[in-house]
Amino acid sequence: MPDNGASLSEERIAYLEGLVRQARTAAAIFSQCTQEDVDRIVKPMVLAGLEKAQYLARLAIEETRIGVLEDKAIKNMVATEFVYNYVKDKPTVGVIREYPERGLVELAEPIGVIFSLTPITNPTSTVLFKCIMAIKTRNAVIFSPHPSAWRCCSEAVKIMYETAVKHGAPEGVFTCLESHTLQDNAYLMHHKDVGLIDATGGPGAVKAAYSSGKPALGVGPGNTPVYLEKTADLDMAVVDIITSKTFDNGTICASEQTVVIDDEIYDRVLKKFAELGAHICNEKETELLGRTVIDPTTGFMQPMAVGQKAADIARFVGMKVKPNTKLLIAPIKGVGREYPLSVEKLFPVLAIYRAQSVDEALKVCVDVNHAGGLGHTAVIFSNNDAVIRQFGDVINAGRIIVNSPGSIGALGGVYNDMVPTFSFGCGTGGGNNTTDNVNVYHYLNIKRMARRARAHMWFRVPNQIYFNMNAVENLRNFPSRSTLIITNPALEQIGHVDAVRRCIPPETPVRVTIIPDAEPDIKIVKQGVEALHFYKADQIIALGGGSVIDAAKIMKLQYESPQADLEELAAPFLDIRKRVVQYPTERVNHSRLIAISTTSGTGSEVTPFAVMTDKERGIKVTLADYSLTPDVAIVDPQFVMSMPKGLTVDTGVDCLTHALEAGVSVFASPYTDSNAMQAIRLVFKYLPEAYEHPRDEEARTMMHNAACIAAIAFSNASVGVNHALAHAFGARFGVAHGRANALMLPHVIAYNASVPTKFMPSPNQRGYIAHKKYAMIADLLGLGGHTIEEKVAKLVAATEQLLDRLAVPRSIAELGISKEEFERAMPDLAKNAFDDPSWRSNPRMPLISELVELYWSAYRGRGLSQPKAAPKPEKVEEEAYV
Amino acid sequence: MTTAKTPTYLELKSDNVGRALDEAREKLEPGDELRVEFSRVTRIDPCVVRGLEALAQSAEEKAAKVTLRGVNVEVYKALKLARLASRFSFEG
Repeated sequence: MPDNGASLSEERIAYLEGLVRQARTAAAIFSQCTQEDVDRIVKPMVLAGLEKAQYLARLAIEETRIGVLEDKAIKNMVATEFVYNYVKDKPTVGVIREYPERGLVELAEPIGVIFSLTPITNPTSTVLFKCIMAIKTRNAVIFSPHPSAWRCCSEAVKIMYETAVKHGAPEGVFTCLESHTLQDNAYLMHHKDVGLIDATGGPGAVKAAYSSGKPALGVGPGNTPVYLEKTADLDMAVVDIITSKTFDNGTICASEQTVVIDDEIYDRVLKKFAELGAHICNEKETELLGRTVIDPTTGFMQPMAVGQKAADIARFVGMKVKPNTKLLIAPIKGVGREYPLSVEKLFPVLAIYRAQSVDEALKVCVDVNHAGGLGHTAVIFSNNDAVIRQFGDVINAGRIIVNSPGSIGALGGVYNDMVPTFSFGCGTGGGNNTTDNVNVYHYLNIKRMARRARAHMWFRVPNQIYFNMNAVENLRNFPSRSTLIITNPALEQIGHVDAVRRCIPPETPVRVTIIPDAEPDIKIVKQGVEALHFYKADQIIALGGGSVIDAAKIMKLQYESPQADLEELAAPFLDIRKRVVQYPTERVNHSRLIAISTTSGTGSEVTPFAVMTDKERGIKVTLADYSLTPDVAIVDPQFVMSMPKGLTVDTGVDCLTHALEAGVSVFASPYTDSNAMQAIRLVFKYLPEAYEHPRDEEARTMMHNAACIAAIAFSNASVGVNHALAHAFGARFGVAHGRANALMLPHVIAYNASVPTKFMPSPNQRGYIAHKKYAMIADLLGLGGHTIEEKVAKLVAATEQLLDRLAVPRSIAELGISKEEFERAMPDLAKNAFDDPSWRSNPRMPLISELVELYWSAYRGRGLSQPKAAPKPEKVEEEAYV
Repeated sequence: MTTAKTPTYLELKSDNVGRALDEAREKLEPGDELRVEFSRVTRIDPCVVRGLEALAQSAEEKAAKVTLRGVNVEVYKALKLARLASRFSFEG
C-alpha cells in the first residue's frame, strides 16, 4: 500500500511540489484561452505526432521489447489522426451544447491538473492521445509513464509539449515525472491540486487511483469473449480475429481472448485459422502452454509473454510450430482456474471452445466475461440479429463489437462509429465509473445552465355546461338507446327525477337506480356498474349532490374500463402530468355522463375528482383524473330552490373556499383566476341572499353558477391548506365539510397572506404573491384599504362578517369540543392534515407546527379582523405571473 | 508614532507586465502601499504569474500592501486557480 508520500525525502517532495505548481499555473493561464486558441494548438500537435509516429513506435519497441513496430506506428497514427478527426469540431470551451427547447445550456469547465499514468503496452500512443485531449480541454497533465516505457513516453511528451507551447499553450502544461516510485505516484494522487487521475495501466495502478479518494478514470484489464455463431461470415470472422489478436502482438486489452464456436462450424473455422497461419494446439500443447504462459500461482498471464510473437512464445514453451506462425490457438473445455488459458492473454495465444448450442455458447461467453472481463469488451460474429441482441443483453461490456475485430473495433473510428480512444471505461464491473470510450468530455467538468422554464399549464372543463333555470331541458338534445338515472331517495321523493325524465326524449328507455345519500361505497358502485351492464346503458344521468355525481363517475369508469383497479388509480401524485399510475384509455363500453347538480357547493358536475369509501377495508379512495370529468354539466337552479338552510350554508362556504384557495394556488393561472374571482364575487353577493331568502331565484341561480365556476377554477388550480385542515378535522369530529372549511377560512387567509416560513416551489409565479392576490380580491369586492396589508385585513374581516351572517359556528370550541379532547386529537389531526394532498398547491408550504397553530386558532375562533392604519396606497395587480 | 505612506501607483500595459512587476518588487519598501492598475491587462501568462508570485512574496516579507485594480474576471479567475488571489487585495 503506498504511503501517500510520507517516506519521501524533502528534496523529492520539493520536486513533486514544483511539478504540481508548474501544472497548476499552466492550467490557470490556460483557463483564459478561447476555443480558437486551443484549436490552433491542437492541429500542429496532431501533425507532429503523425510525423513522429514511426520514430516513437521504434523507441517504444526498443525500450519495452513488446509488440510490433508497424502496429505501434499505426497506433500512434490512430491516436493522433483519428482522435483529431473526432475532436476537431467539438466545442470544448465555453458553451459546448445548447438545448433551447429545454432552456438548457452546457458549458465546459477545465479540470485543471490531471495526473496521468500510462501503460507499457501502448506507451506512446496513449501519451499522444492524452496530450491532445488535455490541450483540447485546457488542462495541464503530469505524466507518470510505466517505468519500463519511460524513455519513449517522455520523448512523446516532449514532442507534444514543444509543439503545444510553440503554438500558444502555456509553459508547464505537460510534465513528465523523472524516474519515479510508487511513493511519488501516491503523493501526486493525493495532492490537493490534482483534479483528476487518469490511470491507464495494470490493475495495481487503477486500484491505487481509485483508492486515492480523487476523481479518477481508471482503465484496467479485460478478458474479451468472442462468440463465433454459425450464421457468421466465416472468412471475414477468421481474418478479423487474426488481425485483431495479432495486432501489436495482442497488447490491446480489448483483443480477443476466448472464441466460442458453434459446433456446426467448429471444424471449418479451425481449418481456416490453420490455413491463414494459426497453429492449432493439441491437448498436450494446450496444457503445456497454459502451464507456462499463465502464472499458476496467481492465475494471471506471465509478464514475459506480453506482446511477444506467437512463434517466440511457442519456442519458449517448447512447442514446434512453423516459423511464420501468427497465432497459437488452444482448445479449452471450460472457463476458470482449471482452464488457465481462459483468462486475459495480451499476446497471440487464443483459447477456443466448442459449443453445442447457442445457449451453451452464450453461457461460456458469460463465464469468460465474468473471469476478469466485466465491463470491458466483447465480440460477436453472427448474422442472426436475435442472437446478437441476446449476446448484448447477457454480456456486461462497455463495448460489444459486432462482426469486426475486437481490439481495433474497440479503439473506435476504424470499424465503427464509436469514439476513438486509448482508454476503455469498464463501468462498475471493472471498478470504473464509466463504460465510455474515454474522450474529451471526460476531461471536462460540464456545467449545466438551466433557465427558469414556464411550466405547461392546462385548463380543462366539460365539453358542455348548461346553466340557469330550466337548463335541464337541454337533455332533449342527447339521444340515447338506454339511459340510467342515478340519484338518491330524497330527490326522487321531491319529484326531481320526474322533472328530469320529462326532458328526456320519449323514445329513450330510462331506468333509475337509487343509491343512499352518502359518500359512495364500493358495493354501491358495483351495483351501479351491474345495472349499467344489465341495461347496456349508453347514457348516465347523475342527479344529486357531490356523492351521487362522484358515484356515477366511478361507475362510468368501471363500466367502460372493467380492468381499472380503483385502489391503484388512487395512488398519490404530486403533478397530474407526471403521475405514475395512468387511467385506462381502452374502453369496452362507451357512455355519456350528464351531471345535474342539486347542491351549490362541491361543483362535482365539472370536476375531475371522485371520492368513495371501501367500508370492508376501512379506507377512503380519492380518484382524480380529467377522464372522470362529466361530459355534460347541467347547472339548473330549479334543483336547489328547496335546499335546506344548513345545506345552503355548508355548500356555499365550500364553494367560497374552493374559489379562495384556487385564487392563491401555485397552479393558479389567468384562466383559473377569472373563474375564482367571479365565484368569490358571486358568493359574497348572493350567498347571504340565498341563505336568508331561500326562494330568491336570482340568488339561487347565482350561487348555483358560483359553485360551478369555483369548481372549474379548483379543477385546474386545485385547493390548499384550508381543505387539508378541514378534511382531517371533519373526518375526526364528524363535522360537515363546508362547516369545517368555514372554521378554518379566516385563519388560513391570514396565514397565507403572511411571510411564509417555507415557500412552495411555484415556477409560474414571480415571487410570493398570495397576499397580493388576496388584496386583489379585496379590491374586487370593493372592501377598501390602501395597503396590501389593509386589504388583506379587510378581506379577513369581510369573510368573518359573511360567516357571522350565515350563523356558522365560528370556533371549534363552539361545537362543544373540549380543549382536552381537541388536544388529544391534535397529533392525529396534524399528521392527517399534512398527509392530505390538498395543501400541495397551497402558496405557503405548511410546517406541521403551523398546522397545529392553525387548528388552535380555529379552536379559539375570532379575533383576526382588527384593521391597522397604514394609509399608503399600493398597486396589487402586477407581477402575478411569470 | 507611524506616518501613513502615500500609495504608489503602477499602471500595467499588456506589453510590459512581467518587467514592470519585477521593477515594482525591487522598489517595494517595508510598509509600502502599492496599487497596480490591471485594467489594460486582458490576459496573464506564466511570466506574469511568476512576477505576481514574487511580488506577493516580497510584500509579505516587507509587510507591504499590494492592491490590484481593475482586474477583469477572466484574469481574476486565473489568479484564483493559480492560488494567487488570496495574496492580494482587489479594487474595482
